[in-house]
Amino acid sequence: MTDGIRVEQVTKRYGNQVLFADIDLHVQDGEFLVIVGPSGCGKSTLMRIVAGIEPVSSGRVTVGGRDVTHAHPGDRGIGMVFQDYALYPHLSVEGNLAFGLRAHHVPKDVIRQRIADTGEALGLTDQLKKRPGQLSGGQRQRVALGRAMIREPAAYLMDEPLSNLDAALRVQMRAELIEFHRRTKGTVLYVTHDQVEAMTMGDRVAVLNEGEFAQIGTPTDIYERPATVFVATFLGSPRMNLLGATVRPFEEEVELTSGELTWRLPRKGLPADLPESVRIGFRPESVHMRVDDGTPAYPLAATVSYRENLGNESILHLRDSTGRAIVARLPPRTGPRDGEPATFQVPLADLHLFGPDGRACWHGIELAADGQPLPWSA
Amino acid sequence: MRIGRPLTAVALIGFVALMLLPLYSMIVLASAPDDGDLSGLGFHGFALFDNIGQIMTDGRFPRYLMNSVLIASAVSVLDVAISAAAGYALARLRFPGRAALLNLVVIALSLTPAVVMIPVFVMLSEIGWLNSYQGLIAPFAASALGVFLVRQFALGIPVQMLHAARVDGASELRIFLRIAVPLLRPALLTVLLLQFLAQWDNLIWPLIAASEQELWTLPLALSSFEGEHGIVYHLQTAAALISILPPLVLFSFLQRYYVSGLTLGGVKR
Ligand SMILES: Nc1ncnc2c1ncn2[C@@H]1O[C@H](COP(=O)(O)OP(=O)(O)O)[C@@H](O)[C@H]1O
Ligand SMILES: [Mg+2]
Repeated sequence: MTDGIRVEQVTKRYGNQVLFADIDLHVQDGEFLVIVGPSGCGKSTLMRIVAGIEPVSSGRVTVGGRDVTHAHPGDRGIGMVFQDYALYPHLSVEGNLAFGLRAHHVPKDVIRQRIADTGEALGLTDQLKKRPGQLSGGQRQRVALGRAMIREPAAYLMDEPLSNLDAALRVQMRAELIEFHRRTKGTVLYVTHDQVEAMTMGDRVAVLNEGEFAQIGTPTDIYERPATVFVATFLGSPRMNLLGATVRPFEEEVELTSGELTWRLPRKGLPADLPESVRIGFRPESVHMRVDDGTPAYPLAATVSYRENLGNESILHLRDSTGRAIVARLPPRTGPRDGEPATFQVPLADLHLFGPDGRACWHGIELAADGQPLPWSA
Repeated sequence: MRIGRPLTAVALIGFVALMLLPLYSMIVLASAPDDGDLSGLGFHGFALFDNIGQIMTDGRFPRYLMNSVLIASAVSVLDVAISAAAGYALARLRFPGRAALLNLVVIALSLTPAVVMIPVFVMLSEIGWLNSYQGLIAPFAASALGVFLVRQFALGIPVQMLHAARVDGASELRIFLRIAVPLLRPALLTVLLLQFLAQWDNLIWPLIAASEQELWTLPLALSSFEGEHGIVYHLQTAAALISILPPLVLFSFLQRYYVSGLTLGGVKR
């Protein structure tokens, strides 16, 4: 019971279509790991493979150190929360909770005790006699969680459990799930296409795209050091700005040229085999109004095509002199109005460089790690 | 709406009257005394309970009634069991040959009973089941219509719910009995009623397959009533009146179980 979930060299094919080939994933004991990826990338399929609902084409799945690749879903030591709850509508809350215990022939008095405990833990004590149809969305969600908990599984699988809730309830249930994990220290494999859930809930996040994990790491890691262009643009909203650029060595520095813009980066710390043609990325919140405080800075002249005032922030859609679109996120009531030109700047430490294969070759944050003073750029 | 309401009421009353007229006429006829006058639409006396008493004690009528109840019940219960299992499997279980089996069911659906009657007769005669209860029950114990109806209904059971039950550790049999059957109840009751009524009214098959009077059912007996008692309209009508009671009882009994709005609330939407 001390190994969480392991997916080893798992391949899944539907006919000729390979959904994923030889993928590996290790959810540590007590860890909350979130798989995030676009719709249709195979998240649910991977989940169903771990649950035993879908067979693997090849590979191995272990739960709590036990090989369960060919075990029945009920014998894997997992509890699962489904996207649409999938409660049994004809049974009371009690009946829903007891169903799995009865299937395993747990003695009656033990069942009664566990129902009472679970009901109390989830605040469902007064709802035990009701049918799912008589419950609110949040209560149904809790029953679904209770049904997974009551058999005290070695690991939990949750497939987009919040995706059908309205916005306010989703925030509340997100908090409840995080609290649930803190309390139980359970191993959780959680699937979502929602980046906010991924960033806020996961101890670690695994980004699944086109049949492979583009990156597995802590939310901070993935946000600050995205391994690929896909990860960089999938997480973060509005998405990261990406501009094409060419690289030329220039004395102790490296010169990046993108249209009529030029950046100078210290060569130190950059990979030696930096490709000639790269893409440069920076997030909207890294675009600031230029302040002339004497530090070296490379101005970005742009015109506001339109701005969205969201109350707590403003999203500015900019066009630079070569007509490229750049998005900036500024504090509310700051920056230029629609149609006005202005000058911006981006801290060098917030830049990301991606090679032609889409893989990251350098993150500006490495400079911060070196403890160097951070020159401005862009 | 306001103007339409009285009109609707009148139309409904007229419709109900039209439906009840034959029933009324039946009661009048069935109540006629032995030497009674059968003309007109009015009562000429009230001997309904005498007539019923005479039918129930005289002759073989109780036997026919019992045969009908037995056969219609056995057929409808067997049909429900088989339709439930087969329909659920065709809708929600993965197994080789499923598509082909479903096609077979649809083909069987398009065969009219008259087409298969002779082959079934020959088959039963081969195994010696003519003039037996099993010969009256077995040919109807599985119906393509029942299987198809349940299968269509079972497509509405969310696959995720069945997966949830599997993760809960339930066997396929347990899932069928504890999840599928309760959810399929409206469809199963429909099959039960349809099949019970079909068998209750079935004249042609007992006529072909049961020449022994011991095995006669009500439709057969009613159509041959004159054979036993001469043409005795008031007794025949009283017998017919008795014969509509069991389906009515069944209807009103099952009505309680047609819980409309058994929402599939375990799954959103
Ligand atoms: N039984 C199946 N047969 C064929 N293709 C399937 C089957 N199940 C899923 N797929 C395909 O696998 C892909 C991934 O599906 P899914 O795992 O549900 O994605 P996600 O949960 O990430 O949205 C989809 O493109 C879907 O069409
Ligand atoms: Mg999915």
